[in-house]
Amino acid sequence: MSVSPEDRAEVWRLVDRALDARLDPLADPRVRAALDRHPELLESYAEVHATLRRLGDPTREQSRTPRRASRWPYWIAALVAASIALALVIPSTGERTESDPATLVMPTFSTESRVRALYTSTLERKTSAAESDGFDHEHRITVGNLSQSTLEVATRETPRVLALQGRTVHLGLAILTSQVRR
Amino acid sequence: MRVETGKADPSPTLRRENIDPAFENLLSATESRVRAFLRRLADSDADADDALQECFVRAWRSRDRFDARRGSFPAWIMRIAFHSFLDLRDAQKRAPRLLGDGDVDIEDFRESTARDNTCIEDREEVEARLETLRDVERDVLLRFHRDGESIEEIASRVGLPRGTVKSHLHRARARLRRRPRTT
Repeated sequence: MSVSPEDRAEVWRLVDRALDARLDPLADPRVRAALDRHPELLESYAEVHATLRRLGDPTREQSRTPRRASRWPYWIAALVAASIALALVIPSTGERTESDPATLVMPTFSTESRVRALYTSTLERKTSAAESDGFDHEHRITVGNLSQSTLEVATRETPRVLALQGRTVHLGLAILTSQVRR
Repeated sequence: MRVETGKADPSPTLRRENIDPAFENLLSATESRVRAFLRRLADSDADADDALQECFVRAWRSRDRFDARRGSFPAWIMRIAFHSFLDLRDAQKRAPRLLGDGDVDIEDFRESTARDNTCIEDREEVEARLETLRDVERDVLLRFHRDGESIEEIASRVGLPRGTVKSHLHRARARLRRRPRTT
């Protein structure tokens, strides 16, 4: 049983309206009812739902500050800070990767999903660039640097992150380690 | 069929020898599709698997109500999966908020754990999907959903009318919905 173009358009209109308002579409009884009437559209809905969730919390209005933090002047400034910090951090990286796995630290850090989304996307982008250079030490500097620069933004808005700042530098290194070893 | 997968048998009557082979074939044929659907909806694979199990139990219990003349089996089972997921999600939201270390509560933990479960392949898949968008659509989508910019802010920054920005945003979502399926 196919869905008529009108019904299809109505379902997506309701979904878009909720998303535009930064609301959870599935919290809207009209969206639930519409999808229930047209289960053929459920998988399509799940596709966009999954993608938007990966980008961040689609229902949450976010600050523009993180975007500015990813621009190069911050990156270079943080590179210097990270280079200094790494001299203290790297010696303990191996131990932390095993005894303090990312899953123990990240849940606390990522209580702000916006920060986490930014952190992850930036980390991956820069790590990928570093990997293409094939220079292991650069990986470490890049990742440590980015976690630091991201935190500089996060700490302005998220007091909880502030207390975890030191640990999160380790976390960035732990993630990098797992990616390099993959 | 893997109704019992990963958990204790949810019902003493839901055993392989009690399941109609024809119905089992239908379930088996759609299991991977339903699982993929639930994993896209749920915050974690564990939640998806819970919903999947609940879905199969409900499907089995209401198997007599399936009428091929009223719709396909995949649509029927997806609808059950959808309700299983919603009920599970609603139950989780009603659950008391548990405090852990510091001010981290169970909702935070669940959300962050779900994100931790995001494997590299998933992220690469998302990136690949974003690549299918036109540049302007991807830019608008990321600004809105990732960076949290409002429609008005995006319009101002990219120099497009508000309505055009909204159209790009909706088209981007529509393209994501039309992602080619491999399973």
